[in-house]
Amino acid sequence: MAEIFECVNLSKSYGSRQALAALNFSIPRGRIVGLLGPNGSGKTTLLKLANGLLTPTQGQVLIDGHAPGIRSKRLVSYLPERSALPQDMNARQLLRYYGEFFPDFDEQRARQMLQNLGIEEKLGIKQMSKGTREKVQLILTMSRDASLYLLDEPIGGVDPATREYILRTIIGNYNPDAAVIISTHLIADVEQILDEVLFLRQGQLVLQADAEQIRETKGMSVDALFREEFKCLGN
Amino acid sequence: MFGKLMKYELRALAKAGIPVIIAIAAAVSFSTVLCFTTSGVESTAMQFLSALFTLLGFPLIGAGVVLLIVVIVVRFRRTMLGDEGYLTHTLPVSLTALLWSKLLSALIWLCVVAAAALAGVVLCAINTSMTFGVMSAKQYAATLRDTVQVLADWNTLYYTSLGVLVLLFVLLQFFTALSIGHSFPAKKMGYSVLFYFAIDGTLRVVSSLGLILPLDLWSSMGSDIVLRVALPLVTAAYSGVLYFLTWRMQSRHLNLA
Amino acid sequence: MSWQFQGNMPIYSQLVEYLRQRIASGYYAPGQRLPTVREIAVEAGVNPNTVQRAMAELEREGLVYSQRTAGRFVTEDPDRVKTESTLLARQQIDAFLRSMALLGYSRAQVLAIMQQEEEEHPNGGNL
Repeated sequence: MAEIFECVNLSKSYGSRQALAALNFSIPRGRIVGLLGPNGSGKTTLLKLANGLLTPTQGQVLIDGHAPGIRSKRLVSYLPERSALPQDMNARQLLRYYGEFFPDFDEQRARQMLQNLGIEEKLGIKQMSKGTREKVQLILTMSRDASLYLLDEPIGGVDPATREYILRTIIGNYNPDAAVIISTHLIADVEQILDEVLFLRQGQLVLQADAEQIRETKGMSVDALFREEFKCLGN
Repeated sequence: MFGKLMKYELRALAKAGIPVIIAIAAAVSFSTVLCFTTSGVESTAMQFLSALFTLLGFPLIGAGVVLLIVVIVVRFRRTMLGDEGYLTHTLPVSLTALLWSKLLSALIWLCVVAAAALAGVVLCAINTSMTFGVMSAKQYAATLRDTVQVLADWNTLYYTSLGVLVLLFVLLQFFTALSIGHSFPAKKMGYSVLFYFAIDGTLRVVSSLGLILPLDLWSSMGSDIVLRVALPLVTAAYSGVLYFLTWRMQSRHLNLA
Repeated sequence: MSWQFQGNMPIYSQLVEYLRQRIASGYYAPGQRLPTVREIAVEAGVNPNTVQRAMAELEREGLVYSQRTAGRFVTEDPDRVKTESTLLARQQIDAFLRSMALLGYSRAQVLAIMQQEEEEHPNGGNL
């Protein structure tokens, strides 16, 4: 069986600026992987490429052995950095929309999570606060029994209580046969839930390692290692 | 999946289409009631008033179609090229299905609204002739029947089809310009406007050259052939090119902010 | 008891210690069915694979056992739990005595302080 996520010599340039430079790595099923790097290191570009929202300049990204397309979109549950929810719907219509387009969407589970947060199903997306919208989008993303979850900065700019809620929602809902890729620059907040980490610097992969092994062999947290690795950048 | 996309597109456009149709129906009903009540009355002031209302109805009806086109174009930008594009483009459907669901649902709603607008114009015209005493209230039903009979022929069908084709072309010109403009990292709307006029200018130049250069050929064929065959063919060809450009920009050069 | 982890040590070994404490203290009673790996992962806010690994370690030590369909249970042997509890208590006391020794207190002095403490505040007083 093909790896669920694989980059083969993947490069992306915007004009003369190179955002990703010849990435080669793969991620097996059943792993929670942190895609870590400072802002502008290429994390979002990589996830956009995996979702077919951008076209590689060179090389390819493979989802379960296939380039992004209808087939891969059925397998991937994507949480973009921004709010992509249709503005003219309310929560209930949104649940139905996801249910109709994604056969692996568990409407009951999503409804339960909305209820737990006290979000009215009649509430329109436009009426929701930014924080509520982010939570709804995460709930929709995690209510799919996908094979690959691609989460772009799921905990960026939220308060500690929400951060905890989000991380627990991810752990509590992902399909155990799936891989989860979480992109973030807030390493200390997520490192406990990661199996594996990828460090990106200026579009290049500088490290792929097991999180527990870093703690075991180096006697330092992933966050501390990251700071050491990136300190010359002064980000 | 295409059926589901169509369902959501038709439903979203209904939010603009239904109010437009209600507005047209209200304007026509108002004009009709006014004209009937004033038709026998010997009051110049009342007649003037009803004629004024009826005449004002014409631009209002046209505005309905324009409004709907604006709604369609804004929605296209928001769902395909704005933040909602992150969801739209990650649905397990093909880009072809996405684009055609947008185009078809837009055409269906535009046809419905245009038909309502056309009926409104015809009724208002009859109302006006009644107000100015060209015909009496008793002849209303007969006039209406005659009008329908005159309209119900192959020419109407031909011009309706041509109208649909032209609407498709108009929509595609907006969609193409937006798709090209939004492939730039910044100033997306500025580039979109620029490319709209660039496309417009290019097509005008191409059309003029196509008309002037083989002028002898055209004059040998006669104006009827040119209008009935060349016009739809050229419109279809331009639409095809614009569709390909839209598809190409969104499949290869999508660049969501 | 809330979960707090040191970032510079493997989460796995810290989890083993937490779960061992819970079993030794009777928080998870002998023979009781343990929460699922996923439930513990959500509660502790850690990776489920890490919880799985910690559970395997406890199984190896004989503190828990798994039944294929019913899940994981705390050992039904009260002596096994007792041994574990005694072991943990000894470790704590050893560590305490070591720190007291560093402060210059002999075992006899420590005992005297403890005696005095018990007389002044019986049963822990309002400590």
